[in-house]
Amino acid sequence: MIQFARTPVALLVFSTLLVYAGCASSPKQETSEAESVTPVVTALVTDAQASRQNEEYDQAAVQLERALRIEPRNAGLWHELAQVYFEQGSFDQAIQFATKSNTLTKDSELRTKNWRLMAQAYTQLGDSDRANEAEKKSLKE
Amino acid sequence: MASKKSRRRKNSGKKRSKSRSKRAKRGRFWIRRLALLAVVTLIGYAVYLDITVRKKFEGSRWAIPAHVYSRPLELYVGLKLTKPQLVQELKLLGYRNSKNASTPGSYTVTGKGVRIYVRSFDFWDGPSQAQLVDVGIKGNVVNGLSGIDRTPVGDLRLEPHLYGSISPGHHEDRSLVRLEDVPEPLINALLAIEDRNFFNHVGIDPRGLLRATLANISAGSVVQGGSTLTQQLVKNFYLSHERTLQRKLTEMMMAVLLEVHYDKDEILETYINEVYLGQSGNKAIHGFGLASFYYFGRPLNELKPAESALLVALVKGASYYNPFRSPDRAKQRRDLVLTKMAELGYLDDAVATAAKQAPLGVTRQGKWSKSDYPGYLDFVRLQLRRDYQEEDLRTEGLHIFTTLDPLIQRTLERSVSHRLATLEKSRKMKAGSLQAAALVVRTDNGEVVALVGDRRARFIGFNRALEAERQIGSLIKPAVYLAAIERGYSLASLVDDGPLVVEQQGAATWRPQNYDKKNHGSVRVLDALSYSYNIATIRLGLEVGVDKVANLLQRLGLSREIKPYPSLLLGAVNMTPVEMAQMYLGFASGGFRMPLRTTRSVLTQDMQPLARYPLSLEQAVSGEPISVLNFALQSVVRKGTAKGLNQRFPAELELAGKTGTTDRYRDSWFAGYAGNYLAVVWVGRDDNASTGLTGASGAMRIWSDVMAELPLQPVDLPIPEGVEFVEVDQYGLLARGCPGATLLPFVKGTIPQQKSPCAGGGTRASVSTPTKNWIEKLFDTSNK
Repeated sequence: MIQFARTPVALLVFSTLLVYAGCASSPKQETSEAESVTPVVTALVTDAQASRQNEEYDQAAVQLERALRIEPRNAGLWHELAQVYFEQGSFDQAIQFATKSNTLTKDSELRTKNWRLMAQAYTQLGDSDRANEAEKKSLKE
Repeated sequence: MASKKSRRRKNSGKKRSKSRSKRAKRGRFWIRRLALLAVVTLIGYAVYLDITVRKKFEGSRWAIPAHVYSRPLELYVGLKLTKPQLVQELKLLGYRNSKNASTPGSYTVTGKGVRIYVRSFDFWDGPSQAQLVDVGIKGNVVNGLSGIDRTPVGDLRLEPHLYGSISPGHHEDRSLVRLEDVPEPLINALLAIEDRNFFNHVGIDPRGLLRATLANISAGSVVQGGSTLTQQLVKNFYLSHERTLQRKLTEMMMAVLLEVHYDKDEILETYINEVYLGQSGNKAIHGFGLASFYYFGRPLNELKPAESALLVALVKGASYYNPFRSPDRAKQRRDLVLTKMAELGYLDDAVATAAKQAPLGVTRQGKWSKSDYPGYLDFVRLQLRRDYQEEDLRTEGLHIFTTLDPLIQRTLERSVSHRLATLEKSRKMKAGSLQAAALVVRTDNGEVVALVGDRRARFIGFNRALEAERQIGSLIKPAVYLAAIERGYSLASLVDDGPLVVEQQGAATWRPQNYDKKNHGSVRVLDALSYSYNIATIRLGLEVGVDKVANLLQRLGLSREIKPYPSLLLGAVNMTPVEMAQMYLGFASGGFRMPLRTTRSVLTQDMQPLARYPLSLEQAVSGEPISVLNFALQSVVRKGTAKGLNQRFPAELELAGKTGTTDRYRDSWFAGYAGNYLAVVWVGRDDNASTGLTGASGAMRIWSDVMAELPLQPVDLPIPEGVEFVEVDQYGLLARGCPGATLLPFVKGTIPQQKSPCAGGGTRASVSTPTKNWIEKLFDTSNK
């Protein structure tokens, strides 16, 4: 199943990461960041998404941490980890990883996703003030 | 009468014979009783032995120290790695350089890169199969990764390097192997020389004993032992080493009992893991699995027949036949093993003859010495002690996967020892008087990749990186400035660096001095940090509040209690290099606190995942102030106290860092980072005497020796939207387009309002001077 699914998912992941990476970091580095998206990172993200679907969150986190070691400034990877932690029920860490992702990107689509995830996580933590604040920020992006 | 008499006589004769037979009967009775008792005792003893035999065999058979591994080298296209570096890693892992890399654990250097037959390994996230891969390397970058049929390979990890174990002082160490992973020549060699009837006897082998005796008589010395493998196992496993008849009989009984309960394979496998095969420092090498690493640096299943034969040769006496110390003896015994193998048909004569020509092939001693990186291992232990009992770490055979990068670790060790020697020589100091501690950390995840706690890398003992609490001096200053920036100061704010007297309640009046003993008047915050002015820093810190600085240190991850005395502002507080790395990691990571990590995961003895230590983070400082601070720390390198680094590193790296020198040159510090690595170095003397070194002339030299060897990336922290770059002059006034103006980052809302005369503002005289008077009143300080 995973094997069949891998190619199209990989393409999707690859293009998304490319977009994220292109927007990451300061303007000086823009071009080199886009080039630095390596196939191994794409493969690891694909594997991580499969792990997530199987609810193997530790496994997914291991794969994403490996990807991050290769591309630490890829905001998309930090976002993926935030999602894993959210699904795993580690809402504090989900918020932190989404925050980190936001510090690395100016891409409004990704930033919106991060703020939404934070809003959901704060809701889960029962912090409605911060949830609302994050929700508002997601609309402003 | 006579008849009577005779009868009596008869009778008495009868009586006599009767009593004789009675006595005999009684004797027989006693003999029988004794025999019965003996039998019962013997049965009892046998039962006791039987319980003993089974008890030890059923439970966990050995206390095995936890084994500690480095990070796996992860290969991918785009990785910065040179051919020599890759070869160094392969050598470390015991890969053989062979012409066509035809078996796992071998490699060959080609024109385009390196062809590697990568070994299989069970990683936390799944097994990785052995595979033949071409790694293309051009210059210092991996530019291709493909299988034999040229299919691209995406995901490739070399196995991690096993570099140490966690254990008490004197102990046995072993690395368990399963029988199916033991190469056949090794088993054959073992049978040939030690017990050729192993698969046929019942634990004891009279024929073998006889044969050994005859062989020994004809040789004139003891060349063969008569004990079966089972007896040897019993001897090692259950019994003391005294040589008495009783012990020998016990050994034979136990051997038979062992054979009754367990099959040959199980006994053989246990023997293979039990047998003593060498001594490395205070560590006893047991079992063929670990011995293979110890003597050849490679796993057992990769040994050639001659190498297997050498290990088997050691069974008879690992010390006497030690191949490092007594290579001739070892070779003689190995060749005898090969001869026996050929005799019994396990090897072709030609093969055996060829094998005898082979050198012993043992690697330079030091492989699996006490530990390759004891300083680093201390930190691993310290961190694991939070979650594990020391006892479990010593006995459960856990596999601990750490973040150590052996290539960087070796670079750090070399840099520390060379540079200290050079400094001592050039400054005519007594050789060996300086000490140092240092660590290198990944800025993106807090993984500690290298650590040195003593200038002698193999030294086991006081670990300065973890335990030396030394004054941190100016290394504290970034925290003072960050606290100020968080409270609305900008890099263009002016601070007074004029003479200062601090009256402290219950303490002597404090008259802090600058390093150059001069005062610099009104200076910008940026310059006060870049040039490390003490007095300006104290004024700024007092304005902000010492408690705010102390609080910031805790937010950055320092857990020790910090008293908010004014002297804190000049770093009059003792901390370890590890704590300094924790603090600077907060700056390097863009304001995120991440615990320093040495361990990624722990697996059980049979490689099942047990615990994972994930990356975790928490924003400690928001993005705006941290990006402004980073600019200031880059300015320390660009033009300040660390500008010496520019001779060695290109400006594009935009390195950031801070020097630290304490009173009378007792401590020389440097903490600094590139985009991907942070390193902290301390140099000083154990007796706390003067070194004559500043942060720049001591620690920073080591720092630059190490960092120059690493594949550095530029410091490239994102600029948040709430930060704006504005041109200002040296007095902190807006100076767009003015000659000599500098472009500085400002948190929005802290941008100066007044313009420099050159930018159309009023004259400088009309510009207000800094806020020095009220602050001095507030803190009961006065101008001298």
